[in-house]
Amino acid sequence: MININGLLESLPTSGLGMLGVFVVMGAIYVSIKLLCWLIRPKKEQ
Amino acid sequence: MEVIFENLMLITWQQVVMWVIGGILISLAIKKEMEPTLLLPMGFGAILVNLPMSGAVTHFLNGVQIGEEGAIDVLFKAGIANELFPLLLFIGIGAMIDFEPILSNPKLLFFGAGAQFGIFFTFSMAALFGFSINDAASIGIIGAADGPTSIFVANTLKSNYIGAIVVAAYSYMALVPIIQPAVIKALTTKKERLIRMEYKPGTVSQPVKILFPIIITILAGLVAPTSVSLVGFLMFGNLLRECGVLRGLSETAQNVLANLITLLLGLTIATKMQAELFLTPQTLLIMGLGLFAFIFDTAGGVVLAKIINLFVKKKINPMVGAAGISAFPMSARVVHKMGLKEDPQNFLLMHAAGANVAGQIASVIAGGLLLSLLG
Repeated sequence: MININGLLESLPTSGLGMLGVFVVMGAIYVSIKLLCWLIRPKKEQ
Repeated sequence: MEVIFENLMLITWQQVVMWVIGGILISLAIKKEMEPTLLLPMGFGAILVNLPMSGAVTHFLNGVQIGEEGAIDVLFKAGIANELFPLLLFIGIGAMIDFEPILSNPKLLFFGAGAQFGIFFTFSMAALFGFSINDAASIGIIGAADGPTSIFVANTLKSNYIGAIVVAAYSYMALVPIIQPAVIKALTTKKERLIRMEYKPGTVSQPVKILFPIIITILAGLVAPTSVSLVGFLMFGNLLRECGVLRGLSETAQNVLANLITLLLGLTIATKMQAELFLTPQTLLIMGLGLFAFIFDTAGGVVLAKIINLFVKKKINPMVGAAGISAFPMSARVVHKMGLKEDPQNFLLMHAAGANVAGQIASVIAGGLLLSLLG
């Protein structure tokens, strides 16, 4: 029932996956900041 | 008359158990209003496919098909085996989501990432319990707290347990108001739950709202190209909403398309709820691991907020981190209500909604990454 090899096999994917989510969300964060800096809302007259 | 008795004699106790499970799902949908759009068709489908010699599913004898192909199996091949239904549903979901809370406060994106911890933790736990890597990843994705993503990933990875995975995903999504408060309370102090957060509504220009879904699609496509359709369909739906010239299409996607696909999805997934596939010890284990995924998702978000608080002056209410799971909008509502319960003047809704929307994006990205890493 308990499969230590399975756990060890899964760890690199788990680590990379979690890291990958943070990297993509970081990239989205930078994109939003850049977009909002480039395209600012027009000030009301 | 003889035919009727012959069929009655074919009823097995496993089928009767599945009728009871179907009845429970229908009852939860109607009495408790737990995800009724999905649990009701699934419950009915569970009864439909578990009738002896049911014409709704295809029957085989020694690997040879007997009679006509069942209608639900035809629907499965047409809409789920090729991932079409979950993807079409994503257009509707994308059209429903307003990304403004994260566009005006993009820091909340990181809570969406932190609250995907349960997916990867559960993936490893499922592998430890002896599931194959592909099945373990499909079980882990229950933590995406997002039905279409669970179906898409489990089906792409050809998991043998798709029925149990979908039942677990939707059941725990409905149980978010019970699961999350317990985990949040266990991990936070009263002082932390009382932290007030200022909300400054930032104005986001329309061009930014239009460019956002396009940029996310490009970014996700570069990181996980095999699964770009997952993010792409979600963002296409959002582009319909934000472009401002396709109001009719946006409304159709949000209502007619989403309702129609949900209806077919629930009924079709029932083909994987046939007694011989569903009533296994693994199903119970998957239900347990699914709960694990939701608990560790919530914990991941809360702990991330607590870690960030060690480094920032303006403290974050750690409960907002818990809203980073994708169960939208239940999770945001749960956090908002918990905040009001602790302090009737503490309004966390907008922060929680932002984290919740971030969770929607992050869960789809997590699913895509799993597919790319295991592909």
